[in-house]
Amino acid sequence: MKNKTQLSVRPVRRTKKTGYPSWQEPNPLEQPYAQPYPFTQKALNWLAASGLCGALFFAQEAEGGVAKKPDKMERMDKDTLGNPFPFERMGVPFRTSAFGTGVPERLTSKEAQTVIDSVFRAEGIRLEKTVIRTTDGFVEVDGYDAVQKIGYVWIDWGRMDSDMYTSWMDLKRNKDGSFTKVKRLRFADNHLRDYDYSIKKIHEAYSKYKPTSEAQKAFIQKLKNLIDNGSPDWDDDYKYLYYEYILAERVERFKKYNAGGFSNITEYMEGVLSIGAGSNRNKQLDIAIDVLAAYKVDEDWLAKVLIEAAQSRHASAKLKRLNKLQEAYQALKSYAPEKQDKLKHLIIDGKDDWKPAVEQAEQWLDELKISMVEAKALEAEAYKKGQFVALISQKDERWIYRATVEWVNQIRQSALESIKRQAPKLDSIELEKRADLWYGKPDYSDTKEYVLKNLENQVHDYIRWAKQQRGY
Amino acid sequence: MLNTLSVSFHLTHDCNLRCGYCYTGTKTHAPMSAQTADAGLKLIEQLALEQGIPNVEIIFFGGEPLMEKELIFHILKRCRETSSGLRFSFKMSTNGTLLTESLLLDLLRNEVFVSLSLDGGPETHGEQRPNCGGHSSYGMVERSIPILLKHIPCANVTCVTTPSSAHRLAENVDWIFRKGFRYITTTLDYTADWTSDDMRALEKSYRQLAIWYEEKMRRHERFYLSSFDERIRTHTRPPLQATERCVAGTRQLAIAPNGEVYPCITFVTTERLPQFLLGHVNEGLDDACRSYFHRCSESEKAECAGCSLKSRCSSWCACINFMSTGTVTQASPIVCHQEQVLLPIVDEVARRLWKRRNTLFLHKHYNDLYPVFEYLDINT
Repeated sequence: MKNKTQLSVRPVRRTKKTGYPSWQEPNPLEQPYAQPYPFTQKALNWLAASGLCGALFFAQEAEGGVAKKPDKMERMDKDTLGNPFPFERMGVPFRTSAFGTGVPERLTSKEAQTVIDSVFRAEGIRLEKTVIRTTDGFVEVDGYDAVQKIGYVWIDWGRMDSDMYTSWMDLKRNKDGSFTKVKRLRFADNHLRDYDYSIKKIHEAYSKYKPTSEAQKAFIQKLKNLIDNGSPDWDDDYKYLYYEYILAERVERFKKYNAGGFSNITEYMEGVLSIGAGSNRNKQLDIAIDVLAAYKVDEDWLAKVLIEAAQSRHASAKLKRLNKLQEAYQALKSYAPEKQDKLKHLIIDGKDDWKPAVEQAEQWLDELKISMVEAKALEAEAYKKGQFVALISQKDERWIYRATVEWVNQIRQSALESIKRQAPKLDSIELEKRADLWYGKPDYSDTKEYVLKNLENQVHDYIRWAKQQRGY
Repeated sequence: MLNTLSVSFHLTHDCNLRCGYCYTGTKTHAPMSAQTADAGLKLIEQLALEQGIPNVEIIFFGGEPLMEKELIFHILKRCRETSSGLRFSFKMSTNGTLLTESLLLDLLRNEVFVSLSLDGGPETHGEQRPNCGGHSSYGMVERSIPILLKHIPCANVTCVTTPSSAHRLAENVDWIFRKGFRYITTTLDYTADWTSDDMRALEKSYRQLAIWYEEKMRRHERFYLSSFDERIRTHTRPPLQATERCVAGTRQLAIAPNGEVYPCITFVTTERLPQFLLGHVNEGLDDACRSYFHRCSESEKAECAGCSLKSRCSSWCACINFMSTGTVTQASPIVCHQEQVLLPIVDEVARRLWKRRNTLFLHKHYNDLYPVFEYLDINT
């Protein structure tokens, strides 16, 4: 019996992703390269007979024809060998795209480093992760042979310091198409309201610790004074005040929470260690030491904090390397004559025996990210000290690809099948010739495999150049 | 569409067939008079010139328009003789039973584009489109198919699916394709009482049709299947604006045999619908009625609020909504169910073709020049 259920309008709340390009995405006919229209043989004959071959040309051109791509497989000539990874080719500072849209496909860190490591291995170079000291600080490199003094650093988004990129929000487009960096007011009345709101939220969450509203008001007043007085260093001063306030809050909270156990420890540690980057790290260290010293944090307690943070499944990647942090902290505190002394005063006092420990601590904090200054310094080390570290940046345009070999072959196969249907008697050689004529030769220069091969060749060239510079 | 005024001339209510789903009402011999046609043309010209619309599209409709052949040529002659400066184009939808080669050639000489109503193979066509005597009209239509294709290789076919033929939709489309037609427009009988069972049968047919569509695309066969191609286009082309989709009542009109003017062909029936009457060819149009109708048909449908398929759905069509619900302000539940069933099927086929980078698929949906190239391919 027929189901007589009457139909009714029922809105759909969720739908599956369509899986093919929409009108808002780049035209797939031109990605990775143009694809001419597959006319039938009948239509081609008619066009030729009617003298409209130009239309065919137009059709091909209208669809972009088959663009000739320059050969990107650069190889260094033996006689004119240069550094294939100079600072200028790192692609920095680069401009982030709005909401990550329109970014090309690039080699991933895993893909690139697999190739790079294999090349160094093949050349007999034993790589180890280490920290190199430059004139501008310490830099952690992904692989370095201390004997042969050659290695590389892979710079991806996670390793880039704040001066290596410019947010799209900080740029203003000029009429001639160039960009000017806009100095944004870090906070205005609405920002203050936002921070006021967020501070209130912190207070609500941790209300049992009862932070004083006077402290909050004083903090806001300090910020306002900075704005009103137009301090040239208002950015750093603001950060200092913010960190001081927030860190003080957190330390106060964890001191009281100590009796009950250790939770949200990672938040504390991240609050100490992850705010700011690059040039702010020294200031961050200052602040951390000031706060720790001012609040008389118990050493044993802090040691337990470090251990538990490292074991916590919520610990960030940085915190997972806490053995180094622990060593650094132990080194720091072991040189403090008394617990209440501010460690940084020791530096000013100029005692040499504690310097290596402090430097080691600074080194650990600094090595996580690489700034442009540090990258340039690293490049300069090659000439000053014979220390060759290749600066291989993910943002280098050479590691952009638009297709894979499989995709290009699929398109080619589709073209061959189309011709075969129209002219089944053609042999394979003629098929290929006709496909080349109508659709152009398959272009592999934009494929991922080609780019990986190019990277491999460039790394070989770098090693050759480095050895040549050293004279062996 | 912004530059075209589209007017359907319902030359007669009469027809030599008795299709079960026909919405035009009782078949009466009450043709449009030449005077009414002249007045209609005069009104159209006046309207087009006032609104600055350079193109006028005239569609001969009915009933069966070929029952009033003389009137067709009278209108064509009048359009050629006018000095208004407007550009006229002509279309006709016929059941094909009265089409002869000489008549077709005459129509083509006058640049009338003829499309055929053909519901499928002999079985379906016979069931859904009987003649006045209740017998199958397939034999009469079969004669006109080769004539039509010989002179118009890109002729369009409109295939109506009813609840009783829903399970044969794929088979009917394939039959039409094998006959040589390459432009196939499928539509449902929106006046019918569709049930959940019928929709399930329809869904099964659409899945079969999806396999058929994919196979044809892989073989690079040139064709147009409205149910699939239009839905893919809702994803590959920007959403239609209000001024582009339904222009019923504003830039689309229908003139009944007695001279009454309605917004669209669906409202022209032998049973008068005064609530949709926009005017008369002798008296002009009521602009307030026209804009009111347009507002009603474009109004947001409360029952569609929050639907994620809204931008791809055809619930904006006032005609379909009227046929299903009796009003233009309510969305058709038949359309709703159909879109929910069909869109995922279509998207899956498109995704598979995209994954294979099927060249024809890419050009069909991402190349603005594709209609030109396809026309060359089919007509050479």
